[in-house]
Amino acid sequence: MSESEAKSRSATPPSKAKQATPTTTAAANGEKKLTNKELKELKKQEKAAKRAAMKQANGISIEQQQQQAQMKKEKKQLQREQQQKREQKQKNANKKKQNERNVKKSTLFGHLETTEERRATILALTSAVSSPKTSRITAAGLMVPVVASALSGSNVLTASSLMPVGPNASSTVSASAPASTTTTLPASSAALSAGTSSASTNTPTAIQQEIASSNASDVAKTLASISLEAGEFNVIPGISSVIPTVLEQSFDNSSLISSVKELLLNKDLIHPSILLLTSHLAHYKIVGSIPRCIAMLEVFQIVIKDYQTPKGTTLSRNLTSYLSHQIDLLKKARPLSVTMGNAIRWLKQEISLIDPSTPDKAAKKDLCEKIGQFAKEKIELADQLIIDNASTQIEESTTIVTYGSSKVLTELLLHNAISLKKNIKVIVVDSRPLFEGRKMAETLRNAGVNVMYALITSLDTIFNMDVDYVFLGAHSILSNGFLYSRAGTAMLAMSAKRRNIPVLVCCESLKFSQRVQLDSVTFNELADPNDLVNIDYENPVERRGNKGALLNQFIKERKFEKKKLAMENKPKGNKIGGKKGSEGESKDASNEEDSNSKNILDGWQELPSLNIVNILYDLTPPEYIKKVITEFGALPPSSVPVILREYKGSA
Amino acid sequence: MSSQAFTSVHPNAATSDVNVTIDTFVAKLKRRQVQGSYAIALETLQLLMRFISAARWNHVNDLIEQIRDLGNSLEKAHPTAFSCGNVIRRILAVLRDEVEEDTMSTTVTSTSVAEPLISSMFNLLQKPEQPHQNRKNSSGSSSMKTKTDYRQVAIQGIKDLIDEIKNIDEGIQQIAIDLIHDHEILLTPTPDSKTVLKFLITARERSNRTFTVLVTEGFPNNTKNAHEFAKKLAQHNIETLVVPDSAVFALMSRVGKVIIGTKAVFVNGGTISSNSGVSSVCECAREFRTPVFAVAGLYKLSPLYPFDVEKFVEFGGSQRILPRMDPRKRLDTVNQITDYVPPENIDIYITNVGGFNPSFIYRIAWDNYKQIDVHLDKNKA
Repeated sequence: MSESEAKSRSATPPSKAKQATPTTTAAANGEKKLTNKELKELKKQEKAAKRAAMKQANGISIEQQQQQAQMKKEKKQLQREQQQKREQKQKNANKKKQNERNVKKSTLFGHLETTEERRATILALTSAVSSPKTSRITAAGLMVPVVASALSGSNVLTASSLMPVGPNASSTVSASAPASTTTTLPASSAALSAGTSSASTNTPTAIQQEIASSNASDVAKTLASISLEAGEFNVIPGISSVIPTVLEQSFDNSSLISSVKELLLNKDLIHPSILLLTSHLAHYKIVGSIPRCIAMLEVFQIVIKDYQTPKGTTLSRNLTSYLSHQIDLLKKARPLSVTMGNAIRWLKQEISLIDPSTPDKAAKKDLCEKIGQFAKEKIELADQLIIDNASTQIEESTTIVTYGSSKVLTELLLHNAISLKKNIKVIVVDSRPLFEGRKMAETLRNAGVNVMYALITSLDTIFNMDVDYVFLGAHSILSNGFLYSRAGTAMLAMSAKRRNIPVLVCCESLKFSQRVQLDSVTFNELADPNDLVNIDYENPVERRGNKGALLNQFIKERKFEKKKLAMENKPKGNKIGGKKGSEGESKDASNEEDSNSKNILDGWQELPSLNIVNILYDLTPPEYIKKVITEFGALPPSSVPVILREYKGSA
Repeated sequence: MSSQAFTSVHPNAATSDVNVTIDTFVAKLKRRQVQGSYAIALETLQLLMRFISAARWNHVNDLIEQIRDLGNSLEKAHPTAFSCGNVIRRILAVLRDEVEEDTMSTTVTSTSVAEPLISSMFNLLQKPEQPHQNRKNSSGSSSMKTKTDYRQVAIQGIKDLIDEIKNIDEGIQQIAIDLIHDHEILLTPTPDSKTVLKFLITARERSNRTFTVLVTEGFPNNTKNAHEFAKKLAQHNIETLVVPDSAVFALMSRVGKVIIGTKAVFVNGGTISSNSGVSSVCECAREFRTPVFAVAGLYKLSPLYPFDVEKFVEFGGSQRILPRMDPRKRLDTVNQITDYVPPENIDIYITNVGGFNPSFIYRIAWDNYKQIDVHLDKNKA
């Protein structure tokens, strides 16, 4: 504006000068001709000059007004654009959440707990409960540039956390029960200070914390506070940056959050051997109802040996609740098998029968001996009796079909083939993805038994051979006679029944259950659907051994952060955003090519219509089963409640 | 021997070219390089068109014998490629129908020519000789017309059959689309079937019905096809669940219908599927009273009767089931590739000419084939 004014001012003098020269010439001519005409012309010129000046002023003001209006319009447009972008971001976030929820649960099995939910819970618990050394090792792999900047502020963290460390150390010397209550209060204040310092240093983490829901943030704060107690302050930023993302993604269910909170409150009571068993169960390293039960009983013996009764209570009262905390954690790894449930029920009954006046050492020793005796009677001796009963069914030159893997069946077949020297042929039927039958086939083959191995899709060919018996193992037998066993058992039993081949089930009474069920869908256990993405004959447990759940979660988090950064950079400029968008697209294309070369179903979560169902068990109706061979003899499936009622006292 | 006869009788370039093409196709069939009933049928028809265009014969029965020999050699190259023999039998049926029509017209002519004064006994004696005399009396130009007519009839039959095979899906969809109701759960154990894939996609897009499809994996031979099948369905907004083979019984109580594709349909109503595990699934469906319907083009209908089912089932190598093992402790194993489903486990067949009960399939077979051509081998004829 000032420039335009200067220009207009500089323009006016030459016009005035030009106007002056014709006036002088006109005046000279006028004097010669007419004086009146000269006066009129002079007046006109003066009026024109005034008008020009007025016009110039008006023009400038109009221009100013126009510019001001344009500026206002531009501001409004910018605001509107920003609002639209914010709305789009919110919509995208909601869509992502909905997709994640839809992908995890299919329509048929929406009522069952998925593997990802279980794994997220275990990840949260192990990261909180783990020992300092373990947390150090896990956190070493989590060093991210975002966290490295936080480490520069570690002095501030240590300075702020030094104050609550004193009372924590002093409080741990006192009794364990009051220690847990007192440590929570100062720890929460330390968590708040840690959160504020991390927020000040790291903008992305602050955004993450804002995005997280209130419940998730509460659990995150509790987890961060518990990690402070580990005494490894340098590790805190790594853990705290991972856990909120996990919670945000996985804990969309309020019941899950409440159960995790309860477990966190009781974290001091968890025994380390229980943690180890939880890890083995969650990763299917211990498979089968009897092996799981044996492993649990062994760990309980260790827990009882290390147990110390708090003052003011008796062992018979406090040990039961103490074990309940351990059992709650075991349930998070996998749902308990029927054998585990029956063993736990028996153990609690035994604990309640302990005389309060008995010394703790003697009582604990007695309990451990009883647990050992229980395992021996209910499992080892029962297996021996089952083998004796079933051996009478097997004749010379018998062909036997079995499914999957079963400890009793393996011992039975070895006993008949090696000890009794019967010339039997065994066909082991197996199925994907766990391929459990291969272990059984290899065990029998190494012992010299005539073994054939087949998959469940070749069932027609198997039954065209001269098959005499089908022997099946069991996870449990329900009160209405249904056999609850590995998926695929029912199809084998059905095919055998239609060909008039007798189906025999070898089952310990420990596996009998009071529950009733009519189909396989209402209650079942979901395994990891990602096990079906690879197409090969390897056991996913062996394949998964090299990768940890924490590492996979970390990889997901890194990808998520990259996407967030890309989203933040877009609104800065249209051109820059466009370029980065194109780069992202090219990267996505290359990723798609890699995934296509690897597996067809990689990235199946992104397709909303596609689901993978990997159930572990199915239910065989009792009309397909000829006999159930137990340690009490051979009986029809309809007699299961008789055993449950009559022999409950001896159990 | 037939090729030697060809070369000795008509040693020209066209015949040798056709022989080279036949040998190439036979080698392909032996090496299993042509996969799928659809591809085998179309390639066989293309070969047959070239064969008939270059064929030389004195009488139409010679042409029929030459086609039978060709069909016999193709069937021996790949005994379980049933669509190969099926399309050849269709063309043979067309030719035999044409011959019968000509014979009828000749008989009418001879009857009219006969004098009324001849007694019935003499008439019976003279009847078989008269057509022969007519042929001798006829000129060369009329015999050339006859050859051209038969060649044109055969080639036109081949073209019609090719059009029919290429438009199979249209006919099946019009009939089968009403068998699916809204919000139904379907199970398909044959994800390698193009007919099933097109049928499901069309049911979703054209009739806009919302349904869920459970896809079994068919490990170890068909899992890749199953995953690709499931991905395509999901990309067309069809709710899809990938299910391991062992979970079929558990889920069958929730399945409304089982839909299977076929490789060949026998005259007794049984079917051969192109992957294993289908027989168990259909048996399971029968236990749960779940209806099973099979979709099949008419070119897959075979006039053979499966007296010996084991002969039609194929087996593959064990490298897909077990890794390499210690030679001293090897495990025996079975890798079944195809499966036979008996007719009592199938409720309805949907073809491009209508829906049929398995017990009615024999009638459809005899509408399209001749009894004399069921076995192309001379020893069995």
